[in-house]
Amino acid sequence: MENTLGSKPTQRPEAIETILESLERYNSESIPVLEAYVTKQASEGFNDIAANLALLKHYQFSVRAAKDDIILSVLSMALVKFYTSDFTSALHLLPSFVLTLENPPNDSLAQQTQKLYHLYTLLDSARYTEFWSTFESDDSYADIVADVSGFEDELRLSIAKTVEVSSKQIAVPVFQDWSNLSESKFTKWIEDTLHWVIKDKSVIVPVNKDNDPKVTITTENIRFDQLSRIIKRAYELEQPVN
Amino acid sequence: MEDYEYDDFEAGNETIAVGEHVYDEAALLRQQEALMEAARKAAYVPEAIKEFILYFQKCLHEKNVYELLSCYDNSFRKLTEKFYKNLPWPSPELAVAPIVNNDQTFLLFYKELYYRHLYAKGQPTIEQRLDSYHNYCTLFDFIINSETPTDIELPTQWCWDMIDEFIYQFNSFSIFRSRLIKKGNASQADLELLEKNVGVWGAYPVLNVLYSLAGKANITAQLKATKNGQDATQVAGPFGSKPLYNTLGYFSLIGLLRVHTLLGDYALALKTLEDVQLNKRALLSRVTGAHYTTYYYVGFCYLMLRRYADAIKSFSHILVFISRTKNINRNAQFDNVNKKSDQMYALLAICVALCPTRLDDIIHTGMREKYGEQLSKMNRGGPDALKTFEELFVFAAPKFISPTPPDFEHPEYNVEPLQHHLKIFLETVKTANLGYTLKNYLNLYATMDIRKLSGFLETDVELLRSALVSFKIKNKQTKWTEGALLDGESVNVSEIDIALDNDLIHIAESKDGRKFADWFIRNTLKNYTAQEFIANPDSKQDQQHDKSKKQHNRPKKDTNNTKKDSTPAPSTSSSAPVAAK
Repeated sequence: MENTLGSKPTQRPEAIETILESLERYNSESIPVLEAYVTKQASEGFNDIAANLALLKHYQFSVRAAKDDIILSVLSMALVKFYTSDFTSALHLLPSFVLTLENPPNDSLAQQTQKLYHLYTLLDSARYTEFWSTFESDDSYADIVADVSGFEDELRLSIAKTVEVSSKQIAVPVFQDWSNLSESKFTKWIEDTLHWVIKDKSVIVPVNKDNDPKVTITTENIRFDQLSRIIKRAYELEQPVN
Repeated sequence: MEDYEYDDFEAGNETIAVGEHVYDEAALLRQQEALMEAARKAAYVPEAIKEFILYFQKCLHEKNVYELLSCYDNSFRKLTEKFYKNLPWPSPELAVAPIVNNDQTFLLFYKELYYRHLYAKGQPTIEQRLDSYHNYCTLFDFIINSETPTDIELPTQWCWDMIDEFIYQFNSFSIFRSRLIKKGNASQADLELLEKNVGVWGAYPVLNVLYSLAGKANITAQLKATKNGQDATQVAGPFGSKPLYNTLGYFSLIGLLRVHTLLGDYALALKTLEDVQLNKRALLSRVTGAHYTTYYYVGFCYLMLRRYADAIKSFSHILVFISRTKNINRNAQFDNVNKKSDQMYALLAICVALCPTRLDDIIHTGMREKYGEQLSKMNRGGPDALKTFEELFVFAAPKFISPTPPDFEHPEYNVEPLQHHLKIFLETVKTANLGYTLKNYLNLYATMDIRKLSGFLETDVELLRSALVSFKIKNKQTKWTEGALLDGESVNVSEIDIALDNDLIHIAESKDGRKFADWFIRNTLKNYTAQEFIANPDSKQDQQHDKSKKQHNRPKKDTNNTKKDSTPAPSTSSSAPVAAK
């Protein structure tokens, strides 16, 4: 699982880096730059959460500058990486009413955020089958994430990633439901995209450091400074007492 | 000194009946204010206070930091106790200005104390809150916006308190304002005053002050240089090489950590501290308030970023420190430290419920004593557990701030930020909460069929499969190993590790080997104490007596804890003198 906050995406341009590392991050002239960067991420299929959080921070202070479609793009991209803290980090920066407002007006930011949030809770608890059925139950979901190119493919990869970490083998019907693909597409996806093998109605996940748990016994390490008082005492003993 | 409760102004709505008159809260408040106003107008300053103010002024201008600290830390507090326990200190303009010959510089600093005292004693009025804000602006403006650095020097403690109080008042104002509007009984005049001053105590200017202080001292460059083993004074610049700027700049970073957290920006909060070294030699560990504040907020940010292992480490570190030093801490700060440490134990209980972890013995005992019941409730799962998570979170989380002023026209949009953050947090809890139950079953087996487990738990097989994947993913957390606070590696933090093999669950437990070193070291030291006592039974009798008493208490705590401590701890009560050599 990658640490999205601690590492910077290779695609991040110098100009964005400068904004993030200086007080430019508070300059309102940075807003259009960061917004354009969100659009770029959405169309090119990568996600720079640190930059996007900086934009949401701007929106925190100047509510009038906030653009709903940009916010929803940021959330949708964060949703793709549902196994990190990206999505909740972004949510925490939104106005307090978006999640708590009951019966929000149609197509309002609050309503759409609440929809994404519902999807997030399904993904977060690994209820992937339910996620897909909800996602396809209503066109409005696809509309919200429409700006993020390859949303479904990327999300499927994230689901595969959680499987890779947690499983040695997974039954074909289960994984097929989880990835929401027809049989032929599923086989192709497993073999061509993931490069995994299907055998006896099971998908075999290559062994990695996470799906092969081992019993470990940790032994204690004694640091030198823990012994400092004892060593000091040894020195004191050479001195005449009092 | 500050009151961290914040909810003192909810206590109201009291009435007092005097004969046939019944005074409601507002009427009483008006009369109390009239009394205070009269006291202020009288401009009467007792002789002792007059002397003190003059001496205080002298020390400030003579840059006698040592004496200034004594005025600030000692005399001011004692005089408050004697004269101004229930009254404000003499009015800066009316009473103090004539005494100090209208010395504006001194008055800036005096006012800082004056308003702080007002806040500590009770509920300041809107005007006082606004005045205090303007004084901070002028004060920081005086420090930051001058051509050359000012040659005023302040004690480190005061520098910290100033930043701390600045943020406290900002926080307090934001809560005060939103409650006033929510209650709906605010007078028209008050509302107009607030609307007119909508920018006062705004998040933006507060951040601006903190960033400016940090920037003026080039504190980031200085810390980077120190970290790389270079000479920080080379990059400090004319301002940053002065202790005042350096200290204020440094504490401003901690202030930023705090303000960003209050605004819900946990990632940026931790990023702000990326160059601050969290170790024993750091400046922040020299001021108690700064020390526990830093670890509290760092721990809280980690908790919100779902890095429970790091949160636990942060809370444990500072709680061990507090428990070891609680006997030597000064009384004035004792209440604050206590309250914060209660909050941190609560947060720790939350973390442990979400991510079962072995804790240091002292901390484990402390947490059990305070929140043992809540912890088992949280572990049992179900709606009761969720309620407990909520209670502890509300009690222990910082008092969040809304980044924008409230909407005066559409009160339905003024949702308390706490509700927002709480909602997101509780959702995380819902999915993670099965962890403890799962763990209890899983650690009994090396392999197990998923259908068998679903039978035990009385759940659907597919739901359980999802729960297991989620369990595994939640246990894969980013954990700090070195570098900045946001850095870290992805590791499995649970003692139980699983892998699904179709319908079979493979389970591996990582165990801690027996730990002897700590027990051995502690008892060796105890032995030394006993030997010393035997060698000199008379000369240091009292002192030694105290010491051995303390040590009698300690092993008791350890033995409460046998389940956790794998060391059999034979005769822990061996503080009885061992044969002298």
